[in-house]
Amino acid sequence: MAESGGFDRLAQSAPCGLLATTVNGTVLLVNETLALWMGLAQDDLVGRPFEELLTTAGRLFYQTRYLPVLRLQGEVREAALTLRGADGSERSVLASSVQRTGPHGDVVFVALFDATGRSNYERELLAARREADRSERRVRVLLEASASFDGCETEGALASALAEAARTAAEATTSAVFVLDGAVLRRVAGGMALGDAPDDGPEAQAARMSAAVTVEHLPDAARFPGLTERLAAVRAEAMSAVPILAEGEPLGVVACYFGRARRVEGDAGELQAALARQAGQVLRRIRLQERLRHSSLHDPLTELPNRAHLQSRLTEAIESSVLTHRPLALLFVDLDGFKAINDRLGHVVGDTVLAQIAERLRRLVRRGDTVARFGGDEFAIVCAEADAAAAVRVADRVREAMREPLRGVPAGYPVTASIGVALHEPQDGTVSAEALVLAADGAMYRSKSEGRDRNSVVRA
Amino acid sequence: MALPTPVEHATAPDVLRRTNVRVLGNPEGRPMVFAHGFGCSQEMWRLLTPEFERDHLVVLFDLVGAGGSDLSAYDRGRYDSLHAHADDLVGILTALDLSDAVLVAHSVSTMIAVLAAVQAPERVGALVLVGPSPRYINDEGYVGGFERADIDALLETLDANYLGWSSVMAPVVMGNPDRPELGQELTDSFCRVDPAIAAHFARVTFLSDNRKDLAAVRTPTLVVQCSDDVIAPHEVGVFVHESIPGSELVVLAATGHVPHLSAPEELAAAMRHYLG
Repeated sequence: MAESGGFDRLAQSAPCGLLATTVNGTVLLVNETLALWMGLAQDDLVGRPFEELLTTAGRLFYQTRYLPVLRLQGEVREAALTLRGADGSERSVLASSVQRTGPHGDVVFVALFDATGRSNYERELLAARREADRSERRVRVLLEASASFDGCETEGALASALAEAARTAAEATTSAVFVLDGAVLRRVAGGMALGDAPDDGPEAQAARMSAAVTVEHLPDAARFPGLTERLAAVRAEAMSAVPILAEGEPLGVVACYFGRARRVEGDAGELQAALARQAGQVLRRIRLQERLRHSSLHDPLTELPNRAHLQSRLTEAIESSVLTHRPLALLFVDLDGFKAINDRLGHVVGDTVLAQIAERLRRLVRRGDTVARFGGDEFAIVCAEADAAAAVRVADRVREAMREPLRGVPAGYPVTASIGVALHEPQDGTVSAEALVLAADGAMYRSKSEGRDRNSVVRA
Repeated sequence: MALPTPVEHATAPDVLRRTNVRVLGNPEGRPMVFAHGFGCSQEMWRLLTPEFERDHLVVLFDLVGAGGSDLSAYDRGRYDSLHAHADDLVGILTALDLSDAVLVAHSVSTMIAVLAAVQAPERVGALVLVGPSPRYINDEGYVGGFERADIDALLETLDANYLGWSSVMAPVVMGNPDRPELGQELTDSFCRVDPAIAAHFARVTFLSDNRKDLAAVRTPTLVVQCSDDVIAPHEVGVFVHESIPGSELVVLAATGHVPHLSAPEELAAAMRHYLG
């Protein structure tokens, strides 16, 4: 060992930095290698806190993690730290420390290995892995969202699924979905405390501009009146609002609210937009289905329920009458004098008459009653829980309303109504929808044959 | 104006399990709840708590995402600000039905304790804030001690420590990429962390700004400042002291950021002096 200089020589010029510190990190001894790395004399390093040899980030890690673990465990192995030399140059090292009890109290021995090459390699590896994770996550989020959106049958269900998908994807504290209802952006899912989106907020702006609107931090929120308070209500400091578009038309907005300042850009913004696009298509499909369902159950001219719809409403009303032991009335209303209008003034005028009559009927029935167009100039009214007196009151109101003049119809074309009322009392036993319709129809014919513009009541 | 969202207190046993609550000490004593800082877990208090076990009910817990907490409960959206941690802390106080509790909080937990004290002042009798900082990044007219670039570099350091070798490399080396727990074992057995959560929590810790919350504190508060604390410099301690009405500031001779490990006796003495 003599020719190599003994242990001292080995410690001084070993290819790693060696030092001893107090338990509080004050440097007691350093080897030549470390002094060389730092660009300082060994004596200059003694007495300084070890953390002063580190970059700011290194110090943060040293104080919050390295030292606590060292104190609790007595050793730390291979922690990655960065030294900052006197000339500002940086060197990645792996630091291992061990605490030993000596004659003058506890001492910490530290060995630092140069890890520049390895840490560069690891950084690249990590960057590549993160990139792969990001794109994998993106695909997964979109696939999961697509599956959950496709299973939605109603706007409400879709809105909830979209709100949750966007919140998870963006790692947002809260999310909400707003749907355009006329000019109002109505909140339909998420963010209960947010309420509907105000006209002058970022959500409305996103819908108007058909483009994403982001608010990165609270000072930025001041651009929108009242937004600071709305964000406070969901304990957020930033947000991003993305329009839900279908064929370029805004249908609503999905918005994410973040617990602290956030810059939404690149991938994150694109993912929220992609979710909104997917949801937009599904929303269009749901609305189309709703429209088809609506048109299969309604008369296009008067927008009243049609015969098929009447049939199911009547069945429901009978079931409920059985359960509640309450009476039920079905009114058949046939217009007198309509044929003359149609024949002499034409179908167009006839149609406007039917539309006006439909509007009057809609207005004068009770809440919960159903007015339907049975066909031609025949209407039907289901009056739930109506006894004979109540049904006759409705019928009288209907006949009264017919006497009002009709727009677009000259004098000399009076319209009146012949009404048949089929009344079902619970004590009469069960009745079918068909039987009720038949009875009401028969009663209506009696009114017609007895001189029109009158009511006839039968029990069924 | 819209009202704040009601706090979702999970059912009692749930929050206690989620945050790995441990209760020690004297059941008759004034409750003292210890909230650990960034980078570690409730183990950080092990040298300080014995000082108080005789005359205090000592409650220890892990922030969700740290130590023995329920990692599956770490919803990154929910825990993207300190509010969710504060909800958990209030949940603990409620579940244990504590009142007049002393919240002893370190580092990032000081702001969690501040939010909890503002949210549930009826349960919190005193705050002891050790090395508090409401904002780490310098701002106009405010010295936090760091620039944004420093924090980004810290995130890289975390990557290098948690992801670089232990989680990315080890499974590859050991030929078991499907079993990341094998890599996990290589990290320190004390203050266990999940690498991905640690990186997210570092962002929440060092990029949050809770300066505006300080003025709302009505709880008697002791601000404990160490000498030469690189994480929470003296100016920051003074800022916190001046922002919390009626607070007291004590500067310890202890250096560094973790006096409960480096100088537990001095910290305990300062706390006892303040609490009387």
